[in-house]
Order: sequence, then structure tokens, then C-alpha cells
Amino acid sequence: MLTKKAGTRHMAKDFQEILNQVKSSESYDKEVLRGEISDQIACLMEAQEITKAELARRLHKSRAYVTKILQGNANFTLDTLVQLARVLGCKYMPVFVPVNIWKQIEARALNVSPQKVGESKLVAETYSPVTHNDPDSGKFTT
Amino acid sequence: MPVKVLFPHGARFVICAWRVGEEEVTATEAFIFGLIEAKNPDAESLLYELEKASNHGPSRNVEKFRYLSGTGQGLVEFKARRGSRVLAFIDADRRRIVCTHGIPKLKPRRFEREMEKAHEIRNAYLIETMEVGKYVN
Repeated sequence: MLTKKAGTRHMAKDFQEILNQVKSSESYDKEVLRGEISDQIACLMEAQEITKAELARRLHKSRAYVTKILQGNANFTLDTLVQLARVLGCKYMPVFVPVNIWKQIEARALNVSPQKVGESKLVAETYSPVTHNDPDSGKFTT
Repeated sequence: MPVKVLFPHGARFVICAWRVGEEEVTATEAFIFGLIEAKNPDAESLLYELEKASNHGPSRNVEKFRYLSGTGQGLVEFKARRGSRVLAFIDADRRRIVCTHGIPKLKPRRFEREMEKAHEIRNAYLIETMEVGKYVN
């Protein structure tokens, strides 16, 4: 089991610094892609009211396989990806985005210059307290 | 306030971690750092899920994010693909998601104990954030 002790070597490092290191790694990009695909499939299933069993039936696979897809554990082929898109009534559109363009997109989202994306100082510069009177505020009350 | 901000500039939520006393590294951070050191891909998965929740709100995918309302009294969990989880609760008034701690894949009985621990932290947070006298005439 991983305990609190396992993380103590990072004591001196800042969370934002480590986050930036992780975000620049190849494995993070892979996880993002896994997460994006599985979330998009989950959203499409919810919108079209398709159950796991129904999707499994359409794909001619087991229900457990659909769970694996939604968890992001399935390392499926491009053929399966196209098949998934078709059974969900979609076309799969892969897009290669150059890194500099990607930084501009991130910068626009964060409202900073592209050179500052990924800097640990960014947090302090862009942080502003969130207002409390948002109409959505009651939405996630549990 | 005994919380440390992890993702401060999200459009939907500020993601915080519960901090005990003046500790530098919170339990949530320590757990994620541990996963990074162990080269476990769950670290990337959890960081991505937390950041996404911060920017766009929690995931609609129940395999990634789940409300534990039925059993956990207002708790939520972020799940990574290999079973690691971060337990949290949502403070909708302050648009905050407060992570209590992280746990590896566990058997149900052990998980219940961890939920109790998270629930205790949630109670402590509610007491801490309660504005005394707010509703007194």
C-alpha cells in the first residue's frame, strides 16, 4: 500500500511544480487521451440512453469490456474505435495539434500569454477568489 | 482555513486538499506523489480528473467520478483506471471541491473505514467554515 511516507521525498517540491512536470510527460498525454475518449463515450451513452449491456450487444463484446472502455483500461485498436463511433451514431475525427498551437489554446483558456503556460508562477498571477453568488452553485449539492 | 489550494484557476471549481495543522504536504498530495514515485499511471489519471473537474465540473462518467451520497453522506470519489481513488466532498456555496485523502484499491470493508475518515474530515470542515451568528436575528 502506498502511504503518506512514500510521498515525503517530494516534501521540498511544490505541487504546481510537480504538476507541470507531470503534464509535460508523455504518459500524461496518454492518460488525457484515454480519459477524453472514455468520457466522450460515456456522454454519448447518457445522451442516447444506451446502457452498458446495449453497447456491448451492438459491439458484439462482453459487458465487462464496455466497463473497461469506460474506465480507460481498454487498449483498443483503431478498428474498435471506428466501430464504437459507428454504433454510437458518430464519426471519429482524430486531430493532430502542433504543440505551439496547443499552448495558444491553453493560454486563451487561462487568459495569459502563451509563453507563460506551464510556468509555476502562473498560479499566483491568475488566481482570483471565486464569487459565491453563482446561479449554478446549488447544482452539485450532495 | 485548513485547506490547501491545488487547482486554483478552474472555471467551475477550486480544488483544495484538507490540511492538518501546518503540514506542508497534505494527505492527498502525499498520496499522488507516492503514485508518481511508484510510476503508477493512476497519478496522471487522478491529476487529469481533478483538473478537468476544476475546469468543466466533475466527469459524467461513473467509472471516473461517483457520488457516494447513498452510503458516504455527501462524499464523492475520483477514480483512476487502476483502482486508486481520491475521496472528496463538494462545497457548492464556495465552489470548492475539498479532497480529504487518497486511497489505493481496497476491499469493501476497508473502503467503508476510509469513507468514515473522509466523513469526519467533512464534518470538521463544516464546523470550521460555519459562520457563527450568520442566521441570528
